[in-house]
Amino acid sequence: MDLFSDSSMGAAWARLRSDGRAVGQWVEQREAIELVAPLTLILLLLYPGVLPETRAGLQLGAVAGFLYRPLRRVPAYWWALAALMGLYCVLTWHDADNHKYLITYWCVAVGLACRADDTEQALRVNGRLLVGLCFLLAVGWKLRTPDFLTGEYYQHAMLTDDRITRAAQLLAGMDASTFNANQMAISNLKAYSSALDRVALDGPAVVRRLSIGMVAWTLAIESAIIGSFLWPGRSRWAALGRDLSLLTFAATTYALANVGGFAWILLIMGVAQVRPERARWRLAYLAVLGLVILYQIGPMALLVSWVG
Amino acid sequence: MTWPSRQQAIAWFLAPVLLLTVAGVHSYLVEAKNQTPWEGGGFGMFSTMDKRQARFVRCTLITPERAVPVPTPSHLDPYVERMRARPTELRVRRLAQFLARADWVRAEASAVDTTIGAPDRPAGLYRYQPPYETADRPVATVETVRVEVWRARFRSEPYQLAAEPLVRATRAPDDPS
Repeated sequence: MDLFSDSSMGAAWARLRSDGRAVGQWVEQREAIELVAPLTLILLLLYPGVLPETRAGLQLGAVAGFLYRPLRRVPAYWWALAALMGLYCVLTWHDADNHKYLITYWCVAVGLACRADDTEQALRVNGRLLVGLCFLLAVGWKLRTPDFLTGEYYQHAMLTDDRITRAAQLLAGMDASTFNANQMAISNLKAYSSALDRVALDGPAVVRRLSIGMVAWTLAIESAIIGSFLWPGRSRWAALGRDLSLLTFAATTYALANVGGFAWILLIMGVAQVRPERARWRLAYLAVLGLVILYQIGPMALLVSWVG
Repeated sequence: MTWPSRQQAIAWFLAPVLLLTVAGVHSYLVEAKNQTPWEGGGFGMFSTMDKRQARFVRCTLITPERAVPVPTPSHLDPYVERMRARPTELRVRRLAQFLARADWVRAEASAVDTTIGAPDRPAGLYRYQPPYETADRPVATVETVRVEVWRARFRSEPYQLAAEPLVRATRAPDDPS
């Protein structure tokens, strides 16, 4: 039998579309907690933090939630996970990423929602407020920090930060050896035996122009998220603004910045805040989550090496 | 629009209030205690290059002959990491006190001089000797120890990093704790 004949390809495509529609309907018909809980548990499994004491507890807790589904509706279960993640943040305050704090608040919120009369509504309100407030604080810091507004933060990040430098490699044609030379210069400045008070960094001049564009884009998209998520109105347009701004942010930012845990928690809260009548938008959040996973596991790295 | 009941209000607002409270504490620590905007749950990440990794510590033994840069003992790494994230004067003074009272012995003759940028400050000359270890090598006469926390600042024209001091403390072995 010819596997690649028109008829077999057509049948496979039809089956794929039918399966896709079935998955779509399944996602749309679920209660929000049925999607949000397992996604949060996967997040805890993948990003439990580096501290062995809390890591084991979080991963065991997440596995327990997968094996015994009723646990996912028990408030104390979520608060125990929040306590472990909170303990991680306290013990490693000097190192813990901000999304670890956000995961803690989210577990608190899911536990409270499980206890509320209207679980869906509590998840929606928390999803909106937590996303809106975290971006409000983030933009606040950016506006009060001179090196962000002048573009110097992004220039420095593109020249020296391994999470951002692929933006410079892709968009400004900076090669990997320049990044390595900059890392060496930083090591020389920071060495215990160093008496240097400055070191030169290398990089293409276009990074300066690029940084101004990145500043403008960051402030615009993050302000759009703040406005749409903290706006109290319930109109269709407000909901559309929320979904479009957060999805655009995730799809663009995490292509260049390799911070997967943050993307996960934002998109999970994005799923939670979608109203039942707009349940189709959950699929868009899941699709962008898949895109973020792709960003992390390869295609973007391949593109950088190909362009390089 | 109706006001939420007490139970609803807790379910809706407790987590956001927690977020704002931690962010408020973090903001105070940044302003008052030199904590980095990146660490501490205030969501200041990706807004400034002033993160823990852009800060560094330089320790110098002042002996009767010369000033000698020394690395911090590795068992103090967790302390030093916290000090970089929030370099309070107390933390820096305590480290200087510890280093001033510690034993520093001449390193092996084969130790490599790693001094960068100032050949008259020989690095690798002395090494920390933990209390459980005995050595027949000469012990340094330490007059004082200077501990400095620096941070790197980026300059765009031309691209460069400039170091600026954040906190500094000097302690002698017999200074009171």
